[in-house]
Amino acid sequence: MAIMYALKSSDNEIFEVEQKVIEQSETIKKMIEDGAATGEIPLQVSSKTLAKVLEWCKQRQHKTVENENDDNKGKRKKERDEDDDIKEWENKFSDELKADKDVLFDLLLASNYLDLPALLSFLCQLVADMVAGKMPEEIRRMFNIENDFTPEEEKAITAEHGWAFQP
Amino acid sequence: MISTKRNKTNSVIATTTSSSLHSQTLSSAEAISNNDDLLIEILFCLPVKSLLKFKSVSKHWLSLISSPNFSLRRSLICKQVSGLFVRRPNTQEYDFINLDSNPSCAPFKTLSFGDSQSAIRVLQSCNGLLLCSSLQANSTNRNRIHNYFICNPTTKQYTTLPQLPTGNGVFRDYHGVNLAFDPSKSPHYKVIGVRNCACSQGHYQIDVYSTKTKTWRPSVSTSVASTGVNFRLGVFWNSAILWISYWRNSLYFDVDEEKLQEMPMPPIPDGWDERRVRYFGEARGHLHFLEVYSPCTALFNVYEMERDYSRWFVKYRVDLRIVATAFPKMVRTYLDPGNLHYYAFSILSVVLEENDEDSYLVVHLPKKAVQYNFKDMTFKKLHDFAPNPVPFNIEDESTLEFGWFDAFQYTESLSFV
Repeated sequence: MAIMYALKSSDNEIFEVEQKVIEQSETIKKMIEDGAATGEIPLQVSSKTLAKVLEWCKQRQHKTVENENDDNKGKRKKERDEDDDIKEWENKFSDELKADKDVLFDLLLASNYLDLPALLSFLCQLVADMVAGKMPEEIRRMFNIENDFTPEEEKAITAEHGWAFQP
Repeated sequence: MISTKRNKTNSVIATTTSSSLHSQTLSSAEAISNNDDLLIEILFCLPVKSLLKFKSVSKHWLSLISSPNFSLRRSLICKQVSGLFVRRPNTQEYDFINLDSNPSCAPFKTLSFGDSQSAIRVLQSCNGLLLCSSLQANSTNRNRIHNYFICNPTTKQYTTLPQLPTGNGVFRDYHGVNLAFDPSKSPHYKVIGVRNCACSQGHYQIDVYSTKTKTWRPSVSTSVASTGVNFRLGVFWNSAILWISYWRNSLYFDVDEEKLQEMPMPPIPDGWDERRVRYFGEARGHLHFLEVYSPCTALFNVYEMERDYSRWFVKYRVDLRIVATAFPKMVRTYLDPGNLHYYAFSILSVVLEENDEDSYLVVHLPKKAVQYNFKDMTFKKLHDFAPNPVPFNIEDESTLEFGWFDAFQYTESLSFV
């Protein structure tokens, strides 16, 4: 019988999760080890975001369990099929996130807070792919950054790397 | 967990937004852009072109992207060779062979630095930087002066090196100038100049320029037994500049310890009086060397050097005969099959990929460049060279325009010059 834990989101929703799934988060693992996790584990993550986090963790967990159960025979072919399945799943996962930037950014912060390095680097690449072709002004708007250059300073930097601004 | 947070300098903006949904967006986007460690992780995933563009987002982004530590950490992640510059003979133009899966346009076709009127020549490529030179007429006497430049073709920045120390005493002519740059160890680079002694053969003076001091200073002055060393074609590997000898042992100069030493070479086959070097270069921290001899020049080994300079071992075996069946112009049918020049090809580069099974050789055939994979011996055309605007005097279908010393690796880099 798998050990279950109850995670409580910032908006007080309870998620029942297997220990193995949730231990991928170094933050939660540490809370469990420290004995701080009796009853509900309160997290500063919204229910919407936490659902996404758990979706990722379950997919990862699923993959590890399957690999452990494999014998070597036919493993290579199976691995290849699995790789295709994971790719497909990741594509679907990232398409959903790309469609909703709020969710993407919230999830990025949550993966940092929960210490999930694989998810974090996956999301950083996703954000990078999304912003790579944008202009500085679009970046400022997206991250609410103030342009603290004088027009002369900005012009000088742009001129220095003028070629980088071509489409 | 990445958790270092920077003090927010402007907290007013988020609260002034009217729509609550919008302010929610801003708050998590802002939380990301206010967390330098998270922001840097995202910036690491961006191509150099985007990074240069984003320098003008804000002063803070400019300082993050321009920091030497950022370019150092980035250079450890990205070691991909994205292309080769190939010097066109008799012109100042360079062809660009794309090796990246996302093809980008050539970083340059010709080089010009400041008001220098004379032709710029690339001498060496080293971990993202290029060492270049030009010849300038001297107004006071009839001698011409060599100017040396270091340039970063990615950022389009360049710097002119101070004049080499010249001609008093017995050490006069420079035999070679080479660049030593390892961004994984230091953002500083060194340039090594080798002069020989006018009165004692095999006696050399080495001068070192460092970006730390911004001056040339004399380093070792020493005698070596080796002869036939080509000091113009130095390669930087393992903290040393290496020069190949066509006759005997090769030489290397350890840049950190400033010591000139000999390096063994495979024996020259019986019946040959000099080495037929067809490639000497570095890739992902490995030093490669290859030579070809008849009777079948299409069969050869790629040697790799042990890190302690003790010996060369065979890393790859190459058989280009199958390439010749697909590209018949590579065969000079008017020659005897045992002739040294029966197969028309030169080697432009050994490219190592992260997964060694994908590593390959870039081979120049008449008017083409071809990629030959070491592991599965498959090959494909990479590039068609445009006809040379200045044709050779005697040209036939099998003329080769470039040798290994004409090709320079291009690695995207943010390094300062």
